[in-house]
Amino acid sequence: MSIISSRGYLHLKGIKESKHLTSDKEVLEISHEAIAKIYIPEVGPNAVPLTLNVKVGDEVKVGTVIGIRTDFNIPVYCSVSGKIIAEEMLFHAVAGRPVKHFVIENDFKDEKVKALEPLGEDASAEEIVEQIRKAGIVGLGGAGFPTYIKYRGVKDIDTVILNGVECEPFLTTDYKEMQEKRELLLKGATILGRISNAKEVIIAFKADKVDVMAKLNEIIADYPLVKIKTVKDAYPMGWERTLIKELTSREYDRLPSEAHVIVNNVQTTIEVARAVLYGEIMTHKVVTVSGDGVSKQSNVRVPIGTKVSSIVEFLGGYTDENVALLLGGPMTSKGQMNDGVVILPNCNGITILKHRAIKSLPCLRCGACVEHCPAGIQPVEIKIAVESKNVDRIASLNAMSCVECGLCSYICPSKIDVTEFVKKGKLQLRLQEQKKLAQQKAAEAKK
Amino acid sequence: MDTQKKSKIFLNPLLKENPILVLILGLCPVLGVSETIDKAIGMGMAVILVLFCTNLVISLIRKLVPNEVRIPIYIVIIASFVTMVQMLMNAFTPELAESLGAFIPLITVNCIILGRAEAFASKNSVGDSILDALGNGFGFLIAVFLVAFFREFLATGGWKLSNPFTNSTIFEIRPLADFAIPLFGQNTGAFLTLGIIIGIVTAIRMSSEQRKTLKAKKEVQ
Amino acid sequence: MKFSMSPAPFLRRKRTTLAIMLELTIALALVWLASIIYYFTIGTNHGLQAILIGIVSTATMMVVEFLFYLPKCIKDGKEAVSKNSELNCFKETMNAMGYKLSHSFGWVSGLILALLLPVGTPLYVVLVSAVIAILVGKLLFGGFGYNIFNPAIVGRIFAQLCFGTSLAYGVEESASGFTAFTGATVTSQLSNNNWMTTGLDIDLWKLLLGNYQGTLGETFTLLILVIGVVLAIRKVIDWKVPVFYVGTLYLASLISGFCGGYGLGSFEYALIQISVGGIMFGAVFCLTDPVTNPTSPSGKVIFAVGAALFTFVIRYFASAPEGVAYSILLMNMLTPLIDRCIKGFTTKKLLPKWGVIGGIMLASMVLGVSSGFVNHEAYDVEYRKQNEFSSVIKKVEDNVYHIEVQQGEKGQIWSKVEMNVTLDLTNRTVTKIEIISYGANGGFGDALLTGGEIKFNTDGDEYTSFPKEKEPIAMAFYDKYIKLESPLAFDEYLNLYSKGNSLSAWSSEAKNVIRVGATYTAMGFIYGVCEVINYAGGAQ
Repeated sequence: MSIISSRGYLHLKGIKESKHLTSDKEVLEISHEAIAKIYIPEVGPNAVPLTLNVKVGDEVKVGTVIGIRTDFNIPVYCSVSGKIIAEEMLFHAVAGRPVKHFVIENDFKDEKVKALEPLGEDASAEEIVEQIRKAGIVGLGGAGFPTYIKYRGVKDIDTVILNGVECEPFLTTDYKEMQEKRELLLKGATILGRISNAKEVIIAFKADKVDVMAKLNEIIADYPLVKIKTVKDAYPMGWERTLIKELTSREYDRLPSEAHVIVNNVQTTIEVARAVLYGEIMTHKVVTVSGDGVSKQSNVRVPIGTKVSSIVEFLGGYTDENVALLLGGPMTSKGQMNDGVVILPNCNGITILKHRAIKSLPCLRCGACVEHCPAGIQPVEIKIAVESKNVDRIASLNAMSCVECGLCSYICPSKIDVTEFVKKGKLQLRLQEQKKLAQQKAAEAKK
Repeated sequence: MDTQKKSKIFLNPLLKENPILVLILGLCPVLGVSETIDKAIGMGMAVILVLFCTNLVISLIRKLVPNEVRIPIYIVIIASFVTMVQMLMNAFTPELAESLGAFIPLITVNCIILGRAEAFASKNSVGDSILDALGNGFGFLIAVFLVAFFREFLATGGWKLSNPFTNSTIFEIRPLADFAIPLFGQNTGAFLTLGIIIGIVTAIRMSSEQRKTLKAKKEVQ
Repeated sequence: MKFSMSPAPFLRRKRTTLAIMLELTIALALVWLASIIYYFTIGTNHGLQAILIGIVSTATMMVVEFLFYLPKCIKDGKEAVSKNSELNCFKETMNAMGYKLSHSFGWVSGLILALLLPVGTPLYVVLVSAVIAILVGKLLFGGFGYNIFNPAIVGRIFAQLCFGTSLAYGVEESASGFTAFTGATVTSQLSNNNWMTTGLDIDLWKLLLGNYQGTLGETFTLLILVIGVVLAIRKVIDWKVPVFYVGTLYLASLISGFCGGYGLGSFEYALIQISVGGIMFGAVFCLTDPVTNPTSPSGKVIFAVGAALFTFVIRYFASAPEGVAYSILLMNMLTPLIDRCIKGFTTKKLLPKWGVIGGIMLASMVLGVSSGFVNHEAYDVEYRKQNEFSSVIKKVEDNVYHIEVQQGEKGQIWSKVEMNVTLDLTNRTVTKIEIISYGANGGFGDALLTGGEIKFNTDGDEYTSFPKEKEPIAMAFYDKYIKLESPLAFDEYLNLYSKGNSLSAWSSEAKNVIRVGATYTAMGFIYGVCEVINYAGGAQ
């Protein structure tokens, strides 16, 4: 009963208006000036280095393998055709420091190289999973986890959920893709359902997207495995745990497979369909550029590797001297130090907000953060434990379950950065773990 | 050098290292006797007398006392002097002794007396020990008087000072008797007053320390 | 081009602490306004006193906060000037002080404290209580957000302990200004009656609407209920705490009433119990103070139920009318413990948490059962001891009887009457009544029995409040039943008297006639005459 437990979500005020900034407009194609140069990092999207396949001076085409990720053995492809003219140190968002990027001069010919062969209707599950791996598809909802791993050796799955909820304010790329590529979505859904032996595949999105619902319902009869379910407009409905709880009332400990569910983003599904049925790799991404810090707000289709500064210039530039540049939505993304970062496959949007100074008051102890935490922990108590440096209490409060959704800081009436305190708590816990491990090793070494 | 050091022995316990307000030792009698300034001054005098005598004797015999049994020996000495003082008070200041009640024999286990005996008198010469005893005794008196000053004013609206030997009133003024708050005459008020006074003293001390460190920093620069 | 490095999230809810506190202030001001209007209907001086108490309390707290924060704000001002020498030091200090004061919310505690004090409180008491409340209750703990105890409740308990006798619920106006009298409030009436309502005349609607004597804010039960619902909807206060608190108390009183033999009247009895003693006010404004509450939802429910248990115990078993304030302080003390004990996920271990809550509620119910039985029995015995009339009759002459009437073991003074009654047995009339002595000295009963002028102090000053309207009733009573210009039939007296010992047991005619302000005196008189009639054998 949620009288004494956390409610788990909150309806954000103003989220509809923020989405309307870009949801009714057409997706723009980026100009040629903006993509005159493309920058592909020499590390994977999670900052682990690549085994490189090309070097400076090579001619590349769409579909050329730039490198293989050393951690998950998936290739990273080039998104345009041209020539690699140099290497440049650019800031990498996930690594948090500058890394080497290949600078590719775009010749706008878009010459292709066949990277994959399309599979037939009767392809086996192993072949499809291998195809997904070769296509280099990663989770396009923001996490960037390689998709094929979820389906390799899969068993005991009865539901696949396709997450089109998009609960972050300002972002509308999932919505636009669902509108335009409904057939690919449904085909991809059927493929995923088949290779996981699921009983049903559920496409989930917010209840107010009636046009998507209508469009999908027109042709859904041809895809018997797929169902549509709508969810309420609450944050963070797009989080795995909340979505699974909402749709199937199941809870799990660490991985969704414990609840017999696999969750994928709708854009990942579309890419799966493209790779399996047509042998096409992912080269372009629809990015929502929004917020009051940029002159024009719109969805833009850009090739992977476009510099953020070029996109902003294409849309009219910044409106203020002091802005916050976020890769993603305003709730979970942290501010970027410069706009020389590039668009990677799991980047869904660029939100640029004018800088607002926030002065925080002492904690009111109202408990609003506790009442709405989706992970079910007590942010205010963790804050008190961090301030009093009580690491045992931080552990007993299950601080590691925090997903940094930002809801506690959002809802705090005293405008305290509660999420920061929980992050500090997690850091202190990790440091304590490392210390213990080091002590254990030292003790064993002595023996 | 020597006189400076000796004067420090006497002056330190008065304010800077006051046993009650700074070192927070022996608060129980303070809470008990600070209802009126009469009782406070009486108790302070008794403590000074006991401290003086015990420090003197203990410092005289300090080289003869074996280390293992020193505490019981000190207690015996202190108890003897306290008994003497109690008999003197019963004889010469009977009303004061009656109002102080059980707190006179409790001087025996007062932390200040045993603490000074252990920490100072057993290791220093007779002259220094006497100075230390007087300093701590007057420090105790100052602290207890301060608390009693405010407590009596708040509890009865004024003050009354009487001669303990003859029990005649020297003066009694109660300007605000109509607005008296009797709670301050009880234990709750004792804790409140003592706590606030210690808080103010600590705040003053810390800010003066901060100012000194800032000054030192500036001089270094 | 500057890129912000603030931490995520970059969106914040628009509601601020200041907005929440301002809404709370408006709600408190509404209750204060209602109390001012009510006291103005009693008398202009009452109303003015109500206004003054509120102003003195709030102003004192603001001044104390100002003085407390002055050293730090001066330091901030000097720092600001040292960084930017164009600024004026005084202005910077005032800026810092303004920000500090407006975000320390001292005036909220000031208003709550004012509404907790009765109208007859002397102003210096208000001043001292406010100083102690804000200083000891809030500032010394670290200011807003760090206090453990509710500051207004601390001030109230301090006032109760130190100045208990000066907290007067009624104010008397005399030629020289104000003097206060401590009349019986409903709460003390109930508590003297072992919390049973038999024998007391308590009008539920009067209680709900606030037409009785109590502290400034606590009497307007219905108004506070409505305000509480509005505040809960606007999420200024958490709805769980007052609902569980009042609900547990209502259920426990209900069970107590059932066991005390009230039957279906228990519902009204329980409603009366939660309308007196400031339970509603404490539940909506004092218990819900977010700083002194636990932070987790289950902690808040445990807090509310625990406070209900304490209130019940203190009320019924300790017979102290101020049970609400003490129980709030006790639970505030336990809040850090509750916070410490609730760890882990808030969505797990629901059953043990509900178990604890249910256990405490069950304990209150059990106590309700026992209090119902105990108090009923104890009440019966006590009631009989206190309220039974007794008399000593002697025959002086033929048809003249001397009777001394007394009520209760200790003999309540108001109903003591000594008189000579002359009867005419053949015509069954009373012919003469001669009052020898009576207990009601200098009061209304004095005038009733002697037909004299109504005077209220031995100095002869007159009241200007309510008894004046009852004067014609008192005179009519005297003329008819005591002066006896012509003999009066036995039945006239016997019809008034009934064998019960409380006013509610007497006939309705008696209630109208004798509830003039000298109830016990009149009851004693009528009892005496009827006893003489019975003694002489005149009853049929």
